[in-house]
Amino acid sequence: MQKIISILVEDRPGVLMRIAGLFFRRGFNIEALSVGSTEIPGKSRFTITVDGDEAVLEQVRKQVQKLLYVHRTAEHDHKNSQLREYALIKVKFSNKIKTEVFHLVEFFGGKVLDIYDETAIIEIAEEESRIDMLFERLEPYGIIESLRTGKVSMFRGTRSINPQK
Amino acid sequence: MSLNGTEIFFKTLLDEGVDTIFGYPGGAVLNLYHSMPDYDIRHILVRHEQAAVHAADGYARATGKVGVVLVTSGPGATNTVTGIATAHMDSIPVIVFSGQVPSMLIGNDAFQEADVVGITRPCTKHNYLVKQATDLEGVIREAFHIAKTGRPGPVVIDLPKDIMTGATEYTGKKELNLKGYSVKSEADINKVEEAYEAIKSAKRPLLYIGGGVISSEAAKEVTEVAEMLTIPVTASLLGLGGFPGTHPLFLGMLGMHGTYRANLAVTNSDLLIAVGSRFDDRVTAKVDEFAPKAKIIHIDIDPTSISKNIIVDIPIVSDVKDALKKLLKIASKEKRIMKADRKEWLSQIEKWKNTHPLAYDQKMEKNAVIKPQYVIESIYKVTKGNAIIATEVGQNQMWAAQFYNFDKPRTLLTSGGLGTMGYGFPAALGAQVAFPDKLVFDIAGDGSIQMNIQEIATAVQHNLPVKVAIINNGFLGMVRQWQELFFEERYSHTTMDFAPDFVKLAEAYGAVGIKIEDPKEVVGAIEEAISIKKPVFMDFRVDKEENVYPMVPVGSSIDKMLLV
Repeated sequence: MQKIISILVEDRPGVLMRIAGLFFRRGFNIEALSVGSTEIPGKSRFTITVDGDEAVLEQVRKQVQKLLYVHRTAEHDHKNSQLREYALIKVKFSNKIKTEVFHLVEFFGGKVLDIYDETAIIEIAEEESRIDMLFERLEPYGIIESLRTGKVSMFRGTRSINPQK
Repeated sequence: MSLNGTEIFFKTLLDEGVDTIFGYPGGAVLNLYHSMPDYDIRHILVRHEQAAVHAADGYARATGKVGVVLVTSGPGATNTVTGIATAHMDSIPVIVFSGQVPSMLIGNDAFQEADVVGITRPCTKHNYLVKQATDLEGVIREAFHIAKTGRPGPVVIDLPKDIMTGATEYTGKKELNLKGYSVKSEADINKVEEAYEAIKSAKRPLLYIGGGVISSEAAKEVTEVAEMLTIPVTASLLGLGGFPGTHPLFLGMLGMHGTYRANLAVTNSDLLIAVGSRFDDRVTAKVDEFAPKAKIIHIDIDPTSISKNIIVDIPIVSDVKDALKKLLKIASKEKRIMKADRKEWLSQIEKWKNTHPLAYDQKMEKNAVIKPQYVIESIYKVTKGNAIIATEVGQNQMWAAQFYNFDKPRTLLTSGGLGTMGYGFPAALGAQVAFPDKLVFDIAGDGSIQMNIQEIATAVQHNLPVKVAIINNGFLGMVRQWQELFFEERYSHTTMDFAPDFVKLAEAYGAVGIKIEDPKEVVGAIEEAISIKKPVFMDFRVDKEENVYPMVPVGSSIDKMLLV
């Protein structure tokens, strides 16, 4: 079962290794990982997407929670949270296909960032499934390279990972 | 007042109550060793860094204090890894200070450089690389707090050489900045009440205690609970001594080499109360058939232990002692006597005890061979159960667990989780350092003792009169037992037929050696060893192919035992 776990940590060197080590030890492949700063100075937030046995994952989450620099962990799903992913896609481009590409990107909620040397870079921040669909539709034009950040997530309503709020 | 890192190091250690360091010098810690004689700290020079950690671990298990180790960078640090992993698996508070190359050179493949923080990350409770002298005092204080609170464990502090000469202030401040580290030590009273209700309605309750009882200093409370509510008690290897081994309610150890009655009691109980124990696979055997009829209460300070291997019905995440105290309070208010309710259960257990007791057949006639169990039982009788017993790992360890009745906590020092051969001898030395006047034994095998045998020099140098009982069967006995039972008796590389003459070896180091071959001489030899105020190696030549029974084969449930 796929799980999306947020982890609020102290921004210290080595935190990523300690967290990743616990997942690795139980044989989990981290599907996606994003790290960045938060509204609290000195604290960062991880979002980890991981797939595996639910009971073992719960055990790993508890072990992560026990790490010295980890303040909170939380689990997200479609009901309690907004889940988003960001992608950059570089496709072959020419004036001939300009209109249809622009329409397509607009329809899925993305944006053409850059056009250069017969290529276009498209960005999109959306739900996973909509990004999948955009990829599918862009495939025929020729994708040169692409990347996805993996999911980030935030609870709906007043719930927060930061216990002080 | 401005001090350098070296001064901060010793001042902070003294302030944390450290009086003993187990260590080995080297280039990266020369500044510390240079200043050491200026401070009131005893240094035990070992002969191998692994032994320094085991000795500090033995010191910690015997006293309840934090054991402290100091080693140099690179090989000095990597040699400590087995010791650290041993302490980690058994939740023992140890702090290892490792020297490191100067900060500027880290990552440069400098001489005697190793990524110690990287290497020890998975086998420590936490570890640090000190980046600047200003951080040193705070890091040391944090390390002591982390090592001994919650579920205890080892902490490594890597000290780059330049930190020792860097100047900074000594604050003496005790407050810690550990926001991400919280320990829930107080038991939830509602959960304890729920547990009490379950105990009241249980017909066949059983207490299963582990090392948490020892580290929480809760042996007294366990005894009170068992007596007040008439509950029989079994223990994991690390729980031995957490409840008197000679108590009528004690069933012996459970698990792979547990007693027949303890294992049957688990399988038939309707309420299992696990206290400071983690349902290790050597305890549960086949998980699906472990305590199949029982509701499970689990008291443990580590939330990750709850429902890890066995699904728990009533979890109590807290300090063991606090939970038991609350339970006692509720029980004494109710004043309910449960003796009559338990009569049937206790008489059933008594029957099991008499069907298959721990037994061996020691013949005394001419040319009779010494039974290994007889050696342990004789040590128990001669010491009247008042010795501190360290063990190595294997058959010697299991027989010690079965035939020495540990009545008091902190009297058994053994590597349970990691199963580290070579642990016992240095651990015994550590305990002897802490208690110079107590009798300390290491129950060893002829295989295990050779894994840290160099420490006999440490024993002689520091006048540590540890008694080493080598149960010498000329085999790696436990592995040979598995080969006999499960690998067609093919004794591939388990014969130890090239061993040193342990008597001559002891003498070469300035210790004493005794060789014992006749069963009639066993007791006399033990008495003689005790009377000698020096380290003694007793080389007991025992029955070569004696097995440890009962034994639960891997994959079986714990009530399916191979018996004598």
